[in-house]
Amino acid sequence: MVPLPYVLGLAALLFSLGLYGVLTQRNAVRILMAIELMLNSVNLNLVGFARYLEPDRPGGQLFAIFVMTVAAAEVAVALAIILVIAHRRDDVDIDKINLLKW
Amino acid sequence: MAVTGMNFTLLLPELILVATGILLVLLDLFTEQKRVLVYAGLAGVLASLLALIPGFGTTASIWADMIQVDSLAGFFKIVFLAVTALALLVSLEYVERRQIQAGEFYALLIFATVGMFLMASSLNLLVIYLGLELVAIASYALVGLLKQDGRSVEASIKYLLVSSATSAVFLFGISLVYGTTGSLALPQIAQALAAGAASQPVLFAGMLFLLAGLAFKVAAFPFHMWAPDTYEGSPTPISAFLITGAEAAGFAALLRVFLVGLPGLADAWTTIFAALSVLTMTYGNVTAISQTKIKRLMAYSAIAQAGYVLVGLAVATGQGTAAMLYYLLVYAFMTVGAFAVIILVANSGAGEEISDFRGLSQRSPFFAWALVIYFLSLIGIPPTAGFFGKLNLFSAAIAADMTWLAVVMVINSVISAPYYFKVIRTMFLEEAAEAEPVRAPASLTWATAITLVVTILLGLVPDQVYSWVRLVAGAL
Amino acid sequence: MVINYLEVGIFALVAVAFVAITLAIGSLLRPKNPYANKLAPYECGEIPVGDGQVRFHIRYYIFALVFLVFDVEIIFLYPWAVVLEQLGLFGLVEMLIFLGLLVVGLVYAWRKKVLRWV
Repeated sequence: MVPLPYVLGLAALLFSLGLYGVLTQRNAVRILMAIELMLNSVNLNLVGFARYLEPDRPGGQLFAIFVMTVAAAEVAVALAIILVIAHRRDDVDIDKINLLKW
Repeated sequence: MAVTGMNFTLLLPELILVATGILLVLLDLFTEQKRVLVYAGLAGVLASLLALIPGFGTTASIWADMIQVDSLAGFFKIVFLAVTALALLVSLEYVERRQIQAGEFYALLIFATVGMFLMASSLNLLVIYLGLELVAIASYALVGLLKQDGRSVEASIKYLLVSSATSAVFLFGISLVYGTTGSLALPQIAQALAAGAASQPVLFAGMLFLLAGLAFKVAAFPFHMWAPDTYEGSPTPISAFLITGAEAAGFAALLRVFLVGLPGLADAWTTIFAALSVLTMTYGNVTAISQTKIKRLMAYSAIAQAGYVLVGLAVATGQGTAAMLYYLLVYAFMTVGAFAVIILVANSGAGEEISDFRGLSQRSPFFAWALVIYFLSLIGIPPTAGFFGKLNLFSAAIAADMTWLAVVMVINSVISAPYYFKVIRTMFLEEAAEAEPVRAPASLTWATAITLVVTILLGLVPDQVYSWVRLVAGAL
Repeated sequence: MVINYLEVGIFALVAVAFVAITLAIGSLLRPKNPYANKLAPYECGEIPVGDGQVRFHIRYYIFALVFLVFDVEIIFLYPWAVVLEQLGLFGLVEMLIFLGLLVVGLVYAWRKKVLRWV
């Protein structure tokens, strides 16, 4: 069995990578991909903890399933909105999406 | 393996709302009469309100402890239903004029309300997360429904990217708390904390992640940057709905997570909330002064108000919670009321700049005076409801030996006065570009009248309502 | 523990070596006769038309979105199927309601003409 610290370390690394992507990427689709990385790190954490804390109860694994489905719904809405933007201006660089500011 | 505690009676309010939402989706497909949708939505909200009655005063954990029915949940559900009903009323004209897809608009509004219900009525982090996402995903679409307006779509994508990133942060916090305490249920987490888990650094990190994630949802400084853009770009009724409903739901989740789940770390988080509170109210008020667009002004005002409400969490007492609840109730009505007037002006053909309010006192005295009362209430001038809301928060801070926080609140109220008065001055002292009276549709008049009555009433008889929220806060 | 990784390491070495050696033998033995047509993309014998990187029609994305949502919701069917026998009739009805909600989504997509190819 893989020791828990390895799982948590990988999850933390993935999460940091995702957060870095969210903060540095300028393309909306890439930011979405970075967010997916963050969510997957959470899933790793949940499943890893569940394996060690309560191997006979499904709490953590169940949560991971919910995270996946919610993420899919979120991505569907996100891509739909990005499609609308792409229709309007042929570009999804968030630096150029700048109608709103004070 | 039967599911324990299956109780359909106590879940009925949620079930009715879900059914209403689906009914709206289907109705929209088979009818051209879009007004029917609003009436059906209002009927569903009313039915859900009536279905709350049997559960009143009971405290029960149903559906395998996934749903918690208690008076705090009941209180928040009443607030959410009121906000949704008012949002439906003020949307009627707006949706027709802007040719927004009505079916999606109203159905998503109802589904978002279901999400708020889940956020307020669960002691399980999984359900709280699901509620949060239900509100969030529905509102991404709602914010972007003005498809022909570039600002709306832009607000939508910005809101979506920031909000889903913070959801991930919130989730990471959940996973850490789950890992250190071995449970997703808040009461068990509190037990684990009391049994010694509180000293673990990982748990502390988890708490910070949870705090950051939820602080984003209530637009507290420095997690506010999505709020002004989102509230400015989205359809105006949706701005009102999100500022009042979604924010109240965020506070409900904050109350549950921190007061029920993490009291063992109270020393740390009360300090953080106090700091967030001061920063949020000051930032909101100072930035609001220089705004020229009314919706952006209201957005920064909303940030400032979130700062006031955070005082209740900073003191972390029953009195503080009661003051928070009272303020959220008052805030919902006065803010939706103010947005009703903004929608009226926008519908009359003028824009959403503050200068578009010129001469509103001649063009439509009722609405102009209504806006004055909402604004006085937002500043906190007696005898309006907002005054008592702030007074409660103020005395809660004093009682908890945080006089400095109370002083900051008062200073901030003074700072906030000028930008509200700027709008009032524009309405009463400047000449209108066109003198003809504004035609007010019945739905907007009703919404304004209801919110006006509640705002005045809560100011005239604050004690009865306050003793009620005191009871509710005791149930937490 | 360590010995397990050793096996993996040997296996990896053998895998790399196998590919390298076969390629090397092939390049030594085969006749060499390069000409331009050999580099052309193979499209079942047809003469290639246009660029390899075409823009897909925007409609594909809408289908993909609808597919994505329905596809992922099926994840709930797996844990449900495992415990269906214990749950009995109640579980069946629950899942039928859940699937019914998905059907509402499908009806919505159908009536909004998302499924029609124009």
